[in-house]
Order: sequence, then C-alpha cells, then structure tokens
Amino acid sequence: MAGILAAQHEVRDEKKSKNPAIGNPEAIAAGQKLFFASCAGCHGPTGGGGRGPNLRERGAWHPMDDDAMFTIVQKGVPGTDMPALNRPDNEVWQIVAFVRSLTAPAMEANAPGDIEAGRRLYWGSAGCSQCHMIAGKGGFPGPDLTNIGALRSLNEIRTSILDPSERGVTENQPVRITFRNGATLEGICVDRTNYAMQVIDRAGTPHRIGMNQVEAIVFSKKSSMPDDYKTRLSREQLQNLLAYLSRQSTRPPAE
Amino acid sequence: MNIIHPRLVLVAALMALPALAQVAARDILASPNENWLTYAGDYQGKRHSPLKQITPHNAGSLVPTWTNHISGASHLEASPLVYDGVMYITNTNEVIALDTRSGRIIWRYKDTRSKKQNVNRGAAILGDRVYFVTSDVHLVALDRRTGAVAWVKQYGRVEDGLYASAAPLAVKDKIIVGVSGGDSGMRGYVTAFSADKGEELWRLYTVPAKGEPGAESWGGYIEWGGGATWLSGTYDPELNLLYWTTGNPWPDFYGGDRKGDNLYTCSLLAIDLDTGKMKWYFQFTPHDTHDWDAQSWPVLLDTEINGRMRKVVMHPNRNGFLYTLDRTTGEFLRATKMVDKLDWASGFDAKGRPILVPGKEPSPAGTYVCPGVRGAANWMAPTYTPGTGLLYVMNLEQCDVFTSSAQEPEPKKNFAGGGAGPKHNEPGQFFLRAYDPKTGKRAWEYPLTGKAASWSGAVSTAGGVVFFGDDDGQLVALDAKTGQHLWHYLMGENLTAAPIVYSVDGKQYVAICSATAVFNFGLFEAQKPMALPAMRTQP
Ligand code: HEC
Ligand code: HEC
Repeated sequence: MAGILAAQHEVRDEKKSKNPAIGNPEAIAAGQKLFFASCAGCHGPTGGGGRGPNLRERGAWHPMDDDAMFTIVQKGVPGTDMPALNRPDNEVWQIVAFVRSLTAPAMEANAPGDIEAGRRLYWGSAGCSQCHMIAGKGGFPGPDLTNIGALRSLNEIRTSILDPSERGVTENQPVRITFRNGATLEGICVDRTNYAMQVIDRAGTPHRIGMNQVEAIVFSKKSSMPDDYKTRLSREQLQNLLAYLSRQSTRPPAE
Repeated sequence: MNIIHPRLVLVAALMALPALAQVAARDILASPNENWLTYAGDYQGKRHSPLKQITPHNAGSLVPTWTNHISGASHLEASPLVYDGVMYITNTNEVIALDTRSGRIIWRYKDTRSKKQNVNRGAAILGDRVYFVTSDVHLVALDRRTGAVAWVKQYGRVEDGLYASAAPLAVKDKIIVGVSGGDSGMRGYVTAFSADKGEELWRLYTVPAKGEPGAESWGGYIEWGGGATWLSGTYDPELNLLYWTTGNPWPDFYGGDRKGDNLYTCSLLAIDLDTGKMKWYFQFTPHDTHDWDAQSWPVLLDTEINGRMRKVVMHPNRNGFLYTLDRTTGEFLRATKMVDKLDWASGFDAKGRPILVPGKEPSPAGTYVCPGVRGAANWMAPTYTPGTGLLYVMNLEQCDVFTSSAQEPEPKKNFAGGGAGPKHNEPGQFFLRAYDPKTGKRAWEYPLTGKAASWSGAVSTAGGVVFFGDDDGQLVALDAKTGQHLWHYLMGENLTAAPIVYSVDGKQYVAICSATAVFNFGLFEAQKPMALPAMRTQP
C-alpha cells in the first residue's frame, strides 16, 4: 500500500545521529582548552589557519563529517605536519565539538552580551531595522534577519556587520536600470539572464523586467550595507548586537 | 538618486516598507480572473477561469513559454497561486516565488529545520503575505514580495503522529489549516489562525474525545482515531460556512477494535467560520475499512434538482459515488455511481447511509473490492464549468484485494491493520468524466492510457476548454462541451498536481507543476530578436 499511496502522502523523516559532545556547551568549553593547548599553534586560536589550514572555511566540495574529523585529529595526516593526537576518545570528541562550534549556527553559541541593549541598538540608533526585517517589521534591501541565528555562525554575522564587502556582493546586487522609454529604476537585482531580470525596488516591490525594454544596466559591486560600523560601534555595542542577533531564529534552539 | 553611493541614499530615505497594494479578502472573492488566489482558484472549488482567449479553435497552437526545474523537487503537488504576475508554488518545507513572464525565481524560502519532509500542496495569499505549512506542522507567514518571515506558529506535534501538507485557506481575516497522518494513528483537526498575528482562534477536532458526543461510535484507540484533514476546504461566503473533508479512521483496514460509525471520519464537515463550531456533518462511509478518505474537493454550486433550484455541495467520493447534498443543511439529496466497477454498496437509505453488500470487509486472506484503495476519485481536483453546466472529475476504475490483520495496533509505526493492492493482471484505468449536476449522471468520458499512477487534476475556462494532467505525464486540452481532444503536451514524468489558468500583460496562460518542474503554456507567438542592454559594473 505504501508504494501505491506514495504520491499521496510521501513521508520521509530526517534522522541525524551525532556524538553527544557536538553542540554540548560543556564539551565545547573543554574542547576549547584542549584546542588552545594542542592545535592553536598551527591552526590559530579560533581555527582561522596558519601553519595548518583554516578549519572554519573548509572547501564546500567535500565537507568533512564529524567522524572523519575525529579520525584525522586522532590519527593525524601521515606525511604532513598534522600530528596524531593519541588521546582518549572523549577528549578528541570535545575538540571536534569545539571546531564544529566555530561554524555552528550562532544560536548555539550562547553569545554573551546585553540582549535588550542589542535590541534597542538594532531598532534604534544603529539603523539596522531600516534595511532589514525581523518578524515582519523593518525595511529593505537587506536580507531578512528573522532566522539569522540559525542560518549563520557568530563569526559570519560579526564579519557581515564589521566588514560587509568581505563577504562580497555576489547576489542581490544594487542596480540602476535605464529603460528604452527613458524611465529609470533603482533596486536590488535578485536574478537576471540576458532576457529577463527581477528587481526588488527600495519600497520592496518586485519588478519583472523583460530585457527588450532595457537600454542600460549599471550594477554596483559595493554592498549597500554601511561599511563604517567598525568605527561607529563600540566593542560593547557590537557584543550586544551579536547577543541579540544570534538569538533570532524562527524556531526555538531546543528543536 | 544615485546608485553608486546607495547606502547614503538608502539610509537617508528611511527604508521601512510602506503600505503596499494588498490582496484583500474581496480580491479572493473575485478570483479567479487574471489572478489565481486560492488552491482551487475560488472558494467554491470550481477551478473555473473566466478567461476566454484560449478556445477550442486555437488551443491547438499552445506551446510551453517556459519551464523551470525546481532543484531538489521530486513530488511537486502544489496548485500554483498567481497574483500580479508573480507565481507562488510550494515544495517540501519551502515556498518559491516565480516571475510569470520569464519563469525565473524571485525568491525562495526554505525551512531547513523542519523535523519532517513531506509533500506540500500549496500556499495561501492574503494582504502582503503568503502562508504555507511545514511538514512538521508549523504555519508560516512570509512577506510575499521578499519571502521575509513574519511569523512561524506551531499547531501540532510530530510526536502525536501528525504532519502537515495541505494548502492553507485564507478567508476574511483568518487562515485555516488542517493536519495529516491518518494512516498511522493521530487525531485530526481544523484550526483557524488570525492572518495578521498568527493567533490560534479556534480548533475543531474531527474525532471526539472520550466522553464527548460521538465517542460512543468508537471502541478503543479513539485517541488515535484519525480523521485527518489533509486537503484544504471550500467556503460559502453567504452562509459563512467552511466545507472541510476528513480522512479514514485508524487502523485503516481493521475495524474490529473500533465498532461503530467512527464519527466524524470519512465525512464532510460544515464549519462556522467565526466560531469553528460544526453546523452539520455528513458521513459518506460509516465505519470505513477501505481507507476511503473523503478527501476530494467539496464543490459548491447552485443547480436545479427535481425542478427546484438548490444550493448544493457536490462531492466525488473515494468510495465510488458522486454525492449531492444541500449545503445549508447537509441533507442528502442523491448519490450516483461514478465508476462501473463498484460492488460494496447496493444503494442508499433516505438519509444517505450506504446499504452494504455483505462480504466486502477486508479479511486475512484478502477480499476483492471495487473501487480500490485509491478510490474512484481522490484529491485530484475536479472542475465545474457554469457554461456547459458540467462537473469534470478524474475517475479511476480499479479494484483491489484488501487484507486485514487483528494485530494489536501500534500508533506512529506505519501500522494500518492490513493493506490493499490490485491483482497484478488487473491494472486500473483513469477516465476524465463529465457529470451533469442536475442528474448526477455521466455526460461523456475521455479514457486515458497509462499505468494508473497519476494524481493530477483539472481546470476549466470560459473559453470552453478543460485542461488536465493525464496518466502519461501529459497536459491535455479537451473541448469542455464534447470532450473532444484539442491539444496535448508531454512533460515526461508522472503528474501529481493540477493545472491553473491566469493572465499577465493581457495574455492567457495555463501553468502546472510536474513532479520536478513548473511548466507555463501560452498561445504561440514568434519571438523577436532582442538587443542586449549595455551592462556595466561600478566598483
Ligand atoms: C604542527 C602543526 C599542526 C598541529 C599542532 C595540528 N595540526 Fe591539524 N593540520 C596541520 C596541517 C599541516 C594539516 C594539513 C594536512 C594535509 O596536508 O592534509 C592539518 C589538517 C587538519 C585537519 C584537516 C583539515 C582539512 O580541511 O582537511 C583538521 C580537522 C585538523 N588539522 C585539526 C587539528 C586539531 C583539532 C589539532 C589539535 C588536536 C591539530 N589539527 C593540530 C597542522 C597541524
Ligand atoms: C543601508 C541598508 C543597511 C543597513 C542600514 C544595514 N544593513 Fe545589513 N545588509 C544590508 C544589505 C543590502 C545586505 C546584503 C549583503 C550585501 O549586499 O552586502 C546586508 C547584510 C547583512 C547581514 C548578512 C545577512 C546574511 O544573510 O548573511 C547581516 C547579519 C547584517 N546585514 C546585519 C546588519 C546590522 C546588525 C545592521 C545594523 C548595525 C545592518 N545590517 C545595517 C543592508 C543594510
């Protein structure tokens, strides 16, 4: 029966098995200590790389799963500088948990700071809400941040705020269009081909454009996200913002 | 304004989104026109477009104007929505907004943390929002322009055997949703949320709790009784009633532990939109043991019956009969046979209760019953054309061998108390059949070839054309009056969704999701050579 009715209901359940250390705050804290002692010299204190590779931005082509990382850390990579650790399994798992936490969703990082102060800053003087939406309120053209704590790591959010062009504007480029009839339109290009383009204007309205009506298009490489937050925000303000943003998630962290 | 220093301009211009053209409740009442704003296009379940550009004379020159394969899709079941030239479809845990002119994606929202991965049948639209349900029973409200999340509300738990797959229905200021999971034990319900804030306003259970009226129609396992609500419903604005159908009792094929009628499974419920109270119910298949959910569309129309105009609801039921009920009172008016292969009931009493043919219960050795488990009709959308006065229904002629088992039922374990399937030398066959609502009788039929694997539905137009997905992966156009073939197009995979009709820039289109792609069809128009615009990038 299941076969016949597959198209009617088609049920698939997600099953993820993982070592209990992954995502466990105590294991991560213990792993951090071990990492500082045995790994930071080569991989950098936050895994940013040095003599050994960057552990946060490993190539997306062959993502390494937890078990593979466990084996590499425990056994090393023979013939390279990467040594074998040879420690009890539970300690190796603590280290793996720490390395994972560097790229884990920000909501799992339990980021310190004054969440309330971060909220006020975001909706107030920092001006973030003029360009971003959270829970249906706010503005455009920045991406929706309602789920940012689940989508990005703490590091990525920090970089986005301090150095917006670091992450590059590859999609959603700011654009100005001159139509053949002389009209112009400014907005964010969400998609384009030689024949069609979809632009969301500054009021948030999507425009569906046939290229046969277009005379010229000027794209901007520069993010429309301000690049001076590095100097405008104090260290404490940034921490508060991160504490607030890292907790933005469409679902509670427990799930 | 100068895009080269956008941030200065943007910050100065205060980017908070202004109020925009909203999809008003009255726009949905006026749908379909150029837009297609509910799963069925309208509230009545007619799936009838007033557009007239495509006719029996020119349908032969329909061509695909674009196709977009949706990455990751394997079982698209959504009936697309179209508003103001933007098309919204859903896939498992996601909504995709497409430009109807080019077929390109404007935005895509995916809930990556859903605990389940199921098919999804579509979205609802109201105000500046698009609504859909995640497989793990959350209702999600998105900004229809950008896909930004307004809110996410959980309304059921996977741990209780539930999941969600139906398109929500937006009515007045409410969003109505249902739940799935009736084949492995759960308790069904219909829930209303406020469209703006997502507050739960009411919930109507389809199976009573122990001690409540109706509970005497059950034995054990009432708390896992089923009555899933996995298809969205229809609505009568004058009566202010929602019409929602319910699924099978559980375990599907063994009724020994649930002696009685098993209210309110395999039923049509008329629900007061404001209060969520059940105004009346009609149970098509009391004490069902053949998995004959009532999930096919309750079509609301006015027709003459025995010389008198009546407001009726017509329901092509999985159990093989086409029912006509008074939609104000739920009174049984008539049931007629849709399929030639029907052997479990010999007729009806005055109240519409089927008179059973003995020996048609599933058994450990297997019992041959017609129609089969998928039913003579199912959730494949029917369509009604006021012009021809005909109701078009996808019918399956198939019988199955039903087995049952008295094993101790185990909820949430895919346990159904038995099973069913065709004899291997006796495959089913699909037909598109046209019925006259005045009599409930067949006007004509269009037989289909194929493997009896389709789940596609139909749509009709004032131009006099019926479109439907056939059993070979083709979109087919028929003359609505005569059933004469006009046009077909092979999409090359089994179809699990129904077509819609809309227009943009004054041109009429037909769109349908195949299993993995969205296809858009229009009348042939030669393309003109296009000069590429000058493009440049400022650093
Ligand atoms: C002496 C320097 C050194 C130390 C100490 C060291 N590593 Fe490495 N690590 C390397 C080098 C070099 C590589 C690259 C090996 C190769 O060429 O495949 C590497 C590779 C890795 C990789 C695989 C990365 C990838 O993308 O393939 C992981 C994971 C890793 N190290 C984790 C650790 C951890 C955890 C520790 C501490 C327990 C540690 N390393 C200690 C030098 C070091
Ligand atoms: C003038 C508009 C504007 C303002 C003000 C603004 N942003 Fe942005 N922001 C953007 C845009 C546009 C992007 C998209 C990436 C890009 O184009 O560089 C972005 C990207 C981001 C991202 C990355 C989102 C992702 O999906 O990875 C974060 C996080 C972010 N902004 C946070 C902030 C915070 C916090 C503030 C206030 C301190 C802020 N932004 C203020 C426009 C703005």
